[in-house]
Amino acid sequence: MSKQFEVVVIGAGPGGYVSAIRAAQMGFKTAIIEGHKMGGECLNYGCIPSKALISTGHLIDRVQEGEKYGLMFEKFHVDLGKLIDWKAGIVKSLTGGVSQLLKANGVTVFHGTGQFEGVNGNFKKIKVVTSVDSYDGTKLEAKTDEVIEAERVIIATGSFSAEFPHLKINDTSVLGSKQALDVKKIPKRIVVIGGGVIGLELGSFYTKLGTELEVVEAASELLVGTDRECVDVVQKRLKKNGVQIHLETLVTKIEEKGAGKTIVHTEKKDGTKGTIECDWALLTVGRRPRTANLGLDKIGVKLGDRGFILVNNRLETNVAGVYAIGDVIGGMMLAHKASKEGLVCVESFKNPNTTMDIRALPWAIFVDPEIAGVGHTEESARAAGWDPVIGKCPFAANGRALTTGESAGFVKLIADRKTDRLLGAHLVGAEVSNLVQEVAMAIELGATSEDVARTVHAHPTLPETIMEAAESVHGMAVHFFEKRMR
Amino acid sequence: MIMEFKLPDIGEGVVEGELIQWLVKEGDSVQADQPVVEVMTDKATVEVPAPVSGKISKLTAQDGDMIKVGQVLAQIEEGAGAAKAAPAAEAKTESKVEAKAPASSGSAPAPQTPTPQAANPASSYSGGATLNPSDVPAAPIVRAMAQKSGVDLSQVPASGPKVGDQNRVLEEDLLRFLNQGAGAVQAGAPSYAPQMASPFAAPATAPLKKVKPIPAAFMRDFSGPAVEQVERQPVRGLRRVIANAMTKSKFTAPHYSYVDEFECSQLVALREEAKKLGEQYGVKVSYLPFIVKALVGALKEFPIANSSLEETEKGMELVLKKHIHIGVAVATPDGLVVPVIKHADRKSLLQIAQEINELSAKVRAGKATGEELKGSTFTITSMGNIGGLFATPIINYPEVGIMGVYKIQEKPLVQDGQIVIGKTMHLSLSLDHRVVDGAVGGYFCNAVIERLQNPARLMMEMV
Repeated sequence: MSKQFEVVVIGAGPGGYVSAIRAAQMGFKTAIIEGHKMGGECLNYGCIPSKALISTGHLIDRVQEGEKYGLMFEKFHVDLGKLIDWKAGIVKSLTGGVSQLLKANGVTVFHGTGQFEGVNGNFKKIKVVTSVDSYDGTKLEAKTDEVIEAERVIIATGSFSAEFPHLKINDTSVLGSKQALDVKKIPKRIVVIGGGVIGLELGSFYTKLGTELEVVEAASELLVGTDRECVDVVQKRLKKNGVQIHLETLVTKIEEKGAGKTIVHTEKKDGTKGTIECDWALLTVGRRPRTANLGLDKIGVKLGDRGFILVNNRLETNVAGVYAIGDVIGGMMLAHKASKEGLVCVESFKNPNTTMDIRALPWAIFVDPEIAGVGHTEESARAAGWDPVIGKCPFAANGRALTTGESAGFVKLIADRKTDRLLGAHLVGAEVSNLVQEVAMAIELGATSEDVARTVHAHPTLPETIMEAAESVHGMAVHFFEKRMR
Repeated sequence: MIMEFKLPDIGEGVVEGELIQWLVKEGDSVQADQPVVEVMTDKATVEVPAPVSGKISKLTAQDGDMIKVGQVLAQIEEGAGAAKAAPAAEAKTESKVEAKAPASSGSAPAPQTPTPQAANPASSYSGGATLNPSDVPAAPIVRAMAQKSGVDLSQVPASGPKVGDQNRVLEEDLLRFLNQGAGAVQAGAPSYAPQMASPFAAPATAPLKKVKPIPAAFMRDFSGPAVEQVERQPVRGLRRVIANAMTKSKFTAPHYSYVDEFECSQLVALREEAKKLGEQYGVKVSYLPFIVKALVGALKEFPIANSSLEETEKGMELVLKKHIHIGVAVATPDGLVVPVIKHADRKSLLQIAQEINELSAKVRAGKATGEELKGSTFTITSMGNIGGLFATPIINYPEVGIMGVYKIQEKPLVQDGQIVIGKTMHLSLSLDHRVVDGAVGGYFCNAVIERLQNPARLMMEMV
């Protein structure tokens, strides 16, 4: 008889492994199936390795402007190999940690790809395929395939980099985000195709290494959907650093000329054609849900128009006992969103009343300077029926920001005019990824901007700007002058 | 439109169930899939969800009713006063007549875990956070609690800090709301002793002298195929109350039992006299009033045995009760019930005898009021008419002790080097060791025995 489990999770990324550990903690007999590496995209090719590089890039910036602070360097160069090794060490220690946590919590780990085979009463049959290569071509340890059965299955297979028929990722001329984390030599010039989060984060990092960067974006703006004022600050800095931005431009063809020479052919909306010569192009045109080869048709799980798995608000698909979380269901593709969905999903196994109920989903973009946000923008607040009012505080008015030498950017708070309830925050500047959480907490607690304004903030710290922005909602900021009064 | 909410097919061949309780009341707004009624079948207790969002306009079945599958439980005014629907919910055009099959509180391996059963409606969640003007301001923990208990927070009177013209809903607001809603379900008097009837309150039946025919149960016919059979019965009403109360007691209060035996010729003689006097007033006087009085005396000497241990917000507290209400366990056809002699320390023997008689008669007739079954501070259980040496009774929690009394029998005793015939009785005490240590329990038992062995001692302190 097949091994039976109460909960089986497919995919050990930040959604999957968190779900499996919580399920085990709650007493469910739990297994997890992973066809590649523990930790998924986030730990292996996303959040963690890219931030290791980006932090170093930031450090390079500081060193290069060291003279300003009286730091005089004789000579300075980057050893890319060492940097990549250091990054790999961090990834290894974190993914190893995930394996240990799964083991310590008694989760059974199957190495292979999970495929639905059918149902057996209340149980879903899942084949753990070990004899084929996993999705990215990595050879798995040869073992025999095995069918396991699960009362409940959580699909947490995530997403993969999108490609176009004429633009396919390879290892030489067109890199994906994963390949761009492991290059052997510092490129002279690269082209980022797709001016979204991943493209701009990695592209900006390369500029710190001295690489020339050009960004090609089909839309009329970078970072579509992000607060315009915040993006403007980043865009200004990109331009200052010599980055060429081609908006409303499509890539029509990529020619690999050999010897590290690649030609990118572009066409503007107005028909103007052009070419850019570069070492390689970075293709970051979005991500697609990973649902292929899962055998979803065998049990009848429904997909939406864009290929994402459809779920209800307790993450259950149209097939009872089959759940899906994270990138594979769409929405913002964020590790912490996947984790939260996993936790809610598992909790609903014990209490079916449990549903997704989050009011604040903070996020951060590690460009230069950082952008972070939570909750409504002015436009979305208005669309939801609020009457938004804005409070703002520039970092230039903050003592701590000045002492770090990084005072670009601002904090913008959005509150409701009638109730003063906090609705959102959008921040741009150094370290704002660490500031946004205060506002997320305030929104979840149903706080008003006055609550935040009246909360003492330590001096001299960057979060003081959040307090000042909250005061500014009422036209009462102390450390900068505003004409308007409410 | 008004739709009739009918009991859906709960599956597993169930055709009817007992309506345990409504989780909503008339006028409440409900959301589709929100559990609204608890129904007990002989398989399991299930929470049946509302089939549509709307307002409960009428409840057509009441708590305790037996409901057949397909029978109308309530009328729901569809769409009316419905709390916020999921933003991306697909418009439901068909008017469903049957409620959706609920997730059953299934059986093994995880009894508290509902097993996935019914297929779900299509997507209503596409990832992410929402914040709308209709979202009641409340902290995440309060919202999670509300979800778990199926409460719409907009219905909860809020007392937290103001946000515009609304107040934030605090945890205490929700708890208050939940307590008011669930206040209707009050468990009957829990009772804790082994099954027995009091021989003192009601005279024991005469022992059987005649040889009985061997009962059919001993005469199995094994000529046919031997079949193993079980009959499954729903555990309901008093039986369920007893089951829960016993579990709570045994798993909360670490029991120990202390047993002794004493000579009771003097008590027997005294009771013979009292019995005659009682008859003048038409009151049957059993041994029980004397035992009650002896227990009262001992409780006054050891007030700690008349207490309970409570977990309060201040931590663990010992609640010493200044009043003495003695519970007397009485067997009924449905199960054990414990009527209470209130203020036993301030009543005469005759009063107590009369009260015991009246209460046990009422209990057996199933006519005792809730008031008569509440508030005991210590309980007595008697097995005198059944026999046995002694039992180790289970405490009537949250009391800290229970006393078992048993039949009186003639026994050879050694007195001044001579074997004499004496009358003896066993007495057992089960005590909560968290409160009453073993040595104290022993002394306490001695205090009861002193008073029964030597009734003069009992008389000296009687008021």
